[in-house]
Amino acid sequence: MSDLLSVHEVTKVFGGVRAVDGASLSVKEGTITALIGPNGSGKTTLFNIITGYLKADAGRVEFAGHDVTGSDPGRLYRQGLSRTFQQARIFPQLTVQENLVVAGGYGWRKLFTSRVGREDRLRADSLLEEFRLDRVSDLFASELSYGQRKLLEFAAVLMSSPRLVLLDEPTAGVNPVLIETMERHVRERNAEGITFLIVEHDMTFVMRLCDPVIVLDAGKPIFAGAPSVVQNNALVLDAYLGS
Amino acid sequence: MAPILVIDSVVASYGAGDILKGVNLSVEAGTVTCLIGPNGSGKSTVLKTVSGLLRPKRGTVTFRDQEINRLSPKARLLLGIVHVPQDRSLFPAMSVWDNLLMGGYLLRNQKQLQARLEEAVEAFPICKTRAREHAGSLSGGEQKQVELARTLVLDPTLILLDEPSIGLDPKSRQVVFASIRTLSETGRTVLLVEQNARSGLAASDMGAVLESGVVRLVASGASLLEDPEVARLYLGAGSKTPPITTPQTTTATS
Repeated sequence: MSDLLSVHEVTKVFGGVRAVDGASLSVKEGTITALIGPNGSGKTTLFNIITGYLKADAGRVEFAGHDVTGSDPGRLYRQGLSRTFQQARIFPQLTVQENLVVAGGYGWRKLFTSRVGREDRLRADSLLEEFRLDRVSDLFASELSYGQRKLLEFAAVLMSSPRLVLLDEPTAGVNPVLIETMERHVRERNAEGITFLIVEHDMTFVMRLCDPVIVLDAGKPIFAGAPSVVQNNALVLDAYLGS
Repeated sequence: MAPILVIDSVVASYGAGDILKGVNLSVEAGTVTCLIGPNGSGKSTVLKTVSGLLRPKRGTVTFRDQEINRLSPKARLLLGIVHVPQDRSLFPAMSVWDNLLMGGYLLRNQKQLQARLEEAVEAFPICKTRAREHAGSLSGGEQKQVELARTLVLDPTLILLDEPSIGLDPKSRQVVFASIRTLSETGRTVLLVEQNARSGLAASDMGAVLESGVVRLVASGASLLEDPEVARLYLGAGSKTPPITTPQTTTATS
C-alpha cells in the first residue's frame, strides 16, 4: 500500500507555543488510521494544516502524490479530501435533509427541485433514520442539539465520495448506541476504498476500529503501531492513557 | 434527606414542538445525579429550565422549597445554582487567571475571593500553571478544567454540568470525574448530563434516563450500569466501564 497522505517536518507556532513541532507522519491508502494524544498535543492543528485551514510555518503536505502545502480547503475538498470538525460545521439555515442533499454534491439551486436523484434520496433517508434524525429532518439544522449536529455532519460525510476523510472527535457528544452505528459505517465505507484518519479520545472506539494508531505528544508523533501494541506502550500510557 | 431540587411536570420548548413533555425529577442534596439518554431527548434543555436560560411552558422547578420558575438566571445564580454549558464559555482573549477572576465578579469581599481562588487552584492546578496564557490558546480539555474551576469561585450549592467530559483525553477525563466526586464530598449537589454514560453513571449516586422529553427511569448509578436493558438501549454493548481514579491519586494534566 502506498501513502495517500504524508506530512513532512511540519511546524506551527502560535505566539510562543509550538503547537506542531516538526511532525512527520503518513497515512497509507485503505487504512483506518487513528491520531490520538493528550489535549493540547496538536492534533486539531495538524488537521487544520492538512486540510488547508491553517498555513504551516514550515514543512510539506502531500496528498495522493501531489504537493498540496498551502492549498485552500475548497480545492482540497474537490481533490477528494474531506473532514469533520470538533464543533460540527453544518449549514444552520438549511434543513437537516437539505444538508445531506448539499453534501451529496448537488448545487444550491437544485435543492428545491426534484432533480435530486432517487438513489441519493433513499440514501439520505436511510442515514437520517439510522442516526435517528428522521423525526427532525425538516427542522433547520440550527435547531439541533450538539450531539445531533455531530451526527448530521457525520452523515453528510457519508453522502459524499471522498478518497480521504479526516474525522475530528466524531463520537464526542454522541450516544454510545449510535457510536456503534458510526463504527459500522466507517468500516463499510473503508471496505469501499475510502481511507480514514480519525482523531478520537474514545479508546474503545479507536482500539476496535483503527490500525495503525499514531500517538502525538507535544506537537510530534511519539509512537505508531497496531492498537494492541500502543495500548501497552509505556510512553503512551504515561503521556496519554494514564495508569 | 429532603430533595434540594424538584422538577415537577415540566413542559418546555424553543418554539414549535415540545422538547420536554412533562419531566419529573428530584435531586437529593449532596448527591451527584447523572442524566443520560439519546441525542435530542432533551437533556440539555432540562438543565436550562433549572438555571433559567429557558422558562417552562408548564410545570414547576423548586429549589430548596422555593419555586423558582419566575426567577431570572441571575437571581438563580445568587441562590447558588451554577450552569456550566456544553459550549466553551471562557473568554478566549482573556488570560486563564482573568477568566477565573470573572467567576468572582459578584464577590465584594476580597478575603472571601482569595480563599475561593485558592480552593479553585487546588482542585484545578492548571489555573496556576497556565495562568498568564490566553484561555483561547488552551486545548478544549484544558479549557473545561478552567471552566470547572471558575464555578468553584462562586461557591455554588447546585452545579449543573452539561457534558463535562466532552473533548477530554482519557487522563483529563479521569481528573474531571474525580473532581465531580470532590465537589459532592464538599457538600455540593451536582446534576450532570453525559453521553459518556458509563463513566458518568460510575461517578454518580443516581442516574436518570430521559427519552423523548420524559424521564423513563430513575435508579442508583450502579444499578443502571448493571441493567442489561439499559445497556442495550442507552449504553451500547461494546465498551466497559473505565476505571475512575480516586481524587487523592489524580494528577494534573498538561
